[in-house]
Amino acid sequence: MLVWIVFALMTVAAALAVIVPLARHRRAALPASAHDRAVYRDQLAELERDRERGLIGAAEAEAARAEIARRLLKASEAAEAASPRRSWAKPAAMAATMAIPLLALGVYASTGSPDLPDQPLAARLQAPPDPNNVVEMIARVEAHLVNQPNDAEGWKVLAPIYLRTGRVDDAARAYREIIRIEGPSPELNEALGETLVAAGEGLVSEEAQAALDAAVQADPDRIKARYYRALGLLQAGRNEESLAEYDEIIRRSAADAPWLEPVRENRKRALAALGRPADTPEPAGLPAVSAGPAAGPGAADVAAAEAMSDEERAQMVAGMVQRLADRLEQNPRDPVGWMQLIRAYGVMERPEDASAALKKAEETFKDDPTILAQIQDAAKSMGLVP
Amino acid sequence: MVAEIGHFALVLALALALVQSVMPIVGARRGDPALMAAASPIATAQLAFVGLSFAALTYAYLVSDFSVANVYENSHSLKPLIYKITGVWGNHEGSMLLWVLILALFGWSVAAFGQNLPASLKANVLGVQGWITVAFLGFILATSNPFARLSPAPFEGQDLNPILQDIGLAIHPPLLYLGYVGFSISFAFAVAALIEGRIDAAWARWVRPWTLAAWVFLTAGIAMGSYWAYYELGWGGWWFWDPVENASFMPWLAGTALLHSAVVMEKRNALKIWTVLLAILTFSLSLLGTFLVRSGVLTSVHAFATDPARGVFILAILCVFIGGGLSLFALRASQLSQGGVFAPVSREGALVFNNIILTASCATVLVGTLYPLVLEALTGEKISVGAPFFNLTFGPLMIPLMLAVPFGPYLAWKRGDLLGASQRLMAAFAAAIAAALMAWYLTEGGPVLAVLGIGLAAWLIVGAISELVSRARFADVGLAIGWRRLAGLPRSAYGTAVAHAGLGVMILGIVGVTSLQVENILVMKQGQTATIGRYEVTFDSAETRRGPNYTELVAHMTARKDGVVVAKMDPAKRLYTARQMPTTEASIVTHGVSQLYVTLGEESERTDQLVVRMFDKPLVTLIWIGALVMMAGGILSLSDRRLRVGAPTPARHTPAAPVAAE
Repeated sequence: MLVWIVFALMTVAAALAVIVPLARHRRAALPASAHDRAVYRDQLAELERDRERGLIGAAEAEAARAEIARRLLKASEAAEAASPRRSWAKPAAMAATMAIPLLALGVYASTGSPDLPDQPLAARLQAPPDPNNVVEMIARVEAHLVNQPNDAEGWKVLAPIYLRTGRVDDAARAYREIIRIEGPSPELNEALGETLVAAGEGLVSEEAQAALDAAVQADPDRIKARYYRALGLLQAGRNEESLAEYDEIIRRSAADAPWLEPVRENRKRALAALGRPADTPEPAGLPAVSAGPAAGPGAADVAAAEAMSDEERAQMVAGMVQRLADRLEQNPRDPVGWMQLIRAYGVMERPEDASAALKKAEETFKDDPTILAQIQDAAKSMGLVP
Repeated sequence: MVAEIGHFALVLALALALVQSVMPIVGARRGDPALMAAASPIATAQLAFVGLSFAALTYAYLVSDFSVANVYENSHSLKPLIYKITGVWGNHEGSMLLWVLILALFGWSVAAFGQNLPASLKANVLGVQGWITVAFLGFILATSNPFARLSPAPFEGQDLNPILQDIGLAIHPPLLYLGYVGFSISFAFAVAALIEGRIDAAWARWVRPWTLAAWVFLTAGIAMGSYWAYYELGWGGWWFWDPVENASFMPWLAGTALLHSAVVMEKRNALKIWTVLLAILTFSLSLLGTFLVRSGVLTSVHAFATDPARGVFILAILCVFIGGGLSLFALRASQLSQGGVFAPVSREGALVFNNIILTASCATVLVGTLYPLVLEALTGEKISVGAPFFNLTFGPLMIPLMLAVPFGPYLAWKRGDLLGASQRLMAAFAAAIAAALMAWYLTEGGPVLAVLGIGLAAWLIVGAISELVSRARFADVGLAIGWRRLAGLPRSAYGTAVAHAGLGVMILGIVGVTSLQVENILVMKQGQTATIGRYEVTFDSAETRRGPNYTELVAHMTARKDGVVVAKMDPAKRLYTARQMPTTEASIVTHGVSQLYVTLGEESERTDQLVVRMFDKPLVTLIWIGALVMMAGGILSLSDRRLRVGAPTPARHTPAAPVAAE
């Protein structure tokens, strides 16, 4: 409502700016030639002043005076303007009073948003937050951190959100800030290193390597840090150290640890770089922790997959599929597992393996028509069964 | 509410502009004093409402109100305060609003300072100003509304284009617009004269100072833009013949011509029709300049408007004002009375020569700028008309003009004495030869261009100064009286001399940097030292740093001259995080009037090894110092508020200096 009152006052002011001068009584304007004569008379007076102050010589002053006089004479000859007609001031004032509000409202109605209040950022940040709006949450925490950059908790909230929304550079910055405030810890260094590798799209920068080194040194059991560290060593051409790091990972991992597969793949690359045979024996690991079926890729695997290059990711997926196949080899009565495996082979475009898996599954469940039908449906969806 | 008040104020300004564009002109035709007198208060209210609107937009930027689309698109809550303010005009919509604000400011100043103008002339001038305002406000409200709102409002803005986050940009557009829009006054006066069918005595007296003021601002704006491009874009060049630069250069050339022809008109009442035509052309080129930059036809940093729907509107505005102005000229020019006559060799003749060359060179630039655009529009073929074209066409046109400049002030009005002028220019000529020889000796027989160019610069500078000295007539009247005469010379005489000398200073800079510059591009390792011209530069170290809204890679370097440390240099490459946009921050060390310019090239992965571009640029700052000197000349002349009558020298045969002429 207030906004309309302000608009009304503004409109009145605009209309008054037109009406008031129209309402004033005016005497007729001088004809233009009278103005010309006034200008020339001014010039003559100025010329006289200049001459008295010695700015201009007598001869030059005389020439100038003659010139002005000529112009003055010419202006005097000009015809005088016709006498003024009846003034249109009244109708003009009325027309303006009508036109200004109508025009302003007409245009504003089609372009304005009178109901929308101002939304200065500072005021919005003080209002209660909307927990479902991630962008708003980020903005709030960021605004808070501008004022209190030493609040580690704020950075801790931001870092994972940044990672999830793909702002890896900002995530790395958040981790750096936490380390700056709280001092380094193996966990933080590991997270920073991993984030920096993600930011470098798989390349391990010097900063990332330093963070990972620190993490591994402070806590030898940081397998993830070791994994990226080995990757960085390999990229830097420090193949011997890289191989040693991969061996160390294997030594510290349970035999059924989910990360062993990609580790072995990368170890082979280190071996290849060193010119050694790919089947160079690896050190003994820790005993397997659980013999039970693992339910698909673990959270660690997904996190690792996100930070990998396409090639590495493909390798990792291949490793996971292989693990599934091995498990089904030992424990074949797992219909869901078989369906996963068939689909996975289909996606990876390995039709022979898919057909082989289908055959084994059909063999296993030949006396259970319901499950058989389900498995065959899955195969059909991959285009395996005619 | 503030944003909506700003919006409504803009709409009211449009309504007032419509009244202003009709009522005073009707009043002038009918001889109705009330209608004519209403123009001034309307122009004042116009300024108030446009000012309110601009203030509202600035407020929205200051408080980061992202519910205003324009703020969301061009600001960021973390941006430093100064760039929140400059961001207001660092985008299409805001810059158009600034344009209109300046237009309203000029309209108001005509209303406020024009009491001695004939009523009908003043009414017509303000009416024409009203037309321009209507066109621009209509354009803003219909296609580029800065007050469009967003709901729900985003929580963070998209940041201002980082290369525009610079103090140079903070001042460049306002100065440029003060120039462009200032020419609208000359245009309004010209059209008013055509409507009335007569040119009042007060006409020239008014047009010249306005043109001069606009010219000073435009000079400042172009020089600022040139220096900004020089240090911010990191290419190390000061002028690229880029269409956007040409867009501001064309009105400058035409405006310079207008300035000189207005002098003839004010003093000698001659060249009236030509001056009117030039006023129309100059403003037309200003409009073209504004829109060439805005329409998005040009792909350049300036082209923040890329909406083709605006193109049609812009084209319509151009057609109406340029076409309309020229048609009116064709219809009515014959009614204007011709001015005085003059001999070919005279001050008037010299100024006509100046006008012919300036307009011809302006046409050259226009062709070189528009031809590729037209060709692309018609055939889809993309060609680029670059420096070679302009060097071949514009350069040769300028040389006779430069050679003629010192003659102009020596020639008397109406009929001059070329031989006498040449004799009195012997000192300047000798100085030019001496300078050229010295340049030849110092550069050890260096480039011909440098030798001739330095000679030309000396010719201009000494020629301008010697004109003042010869007016003091030291030889005739002795030292004491000569000094008094020199001090007593009108400021406009100093203005002329200073502006012409400034031209010489600028040419000295241009010649220095084009013919004597040394450039080196190399990969530098940490600790490595490279020689560039007279300097050795050592790359000490590099680090990454964080600014408020960017990260940067900074290289620390030490510049030495003959083994003595001259300066620490920190060229950098910045990455503005919100837009993921890299910029180059050149490091520039000024040494006397020369500069050492170091910038980082393409990012390499390792921080201990960088691609570095280095330039040793002798005399480079003289380019902009020259522009400043020219501006100072303009301001000096502007401050001379005397009425001016150009009287012919009395017919005697002594070649006395025409002091009365000023």
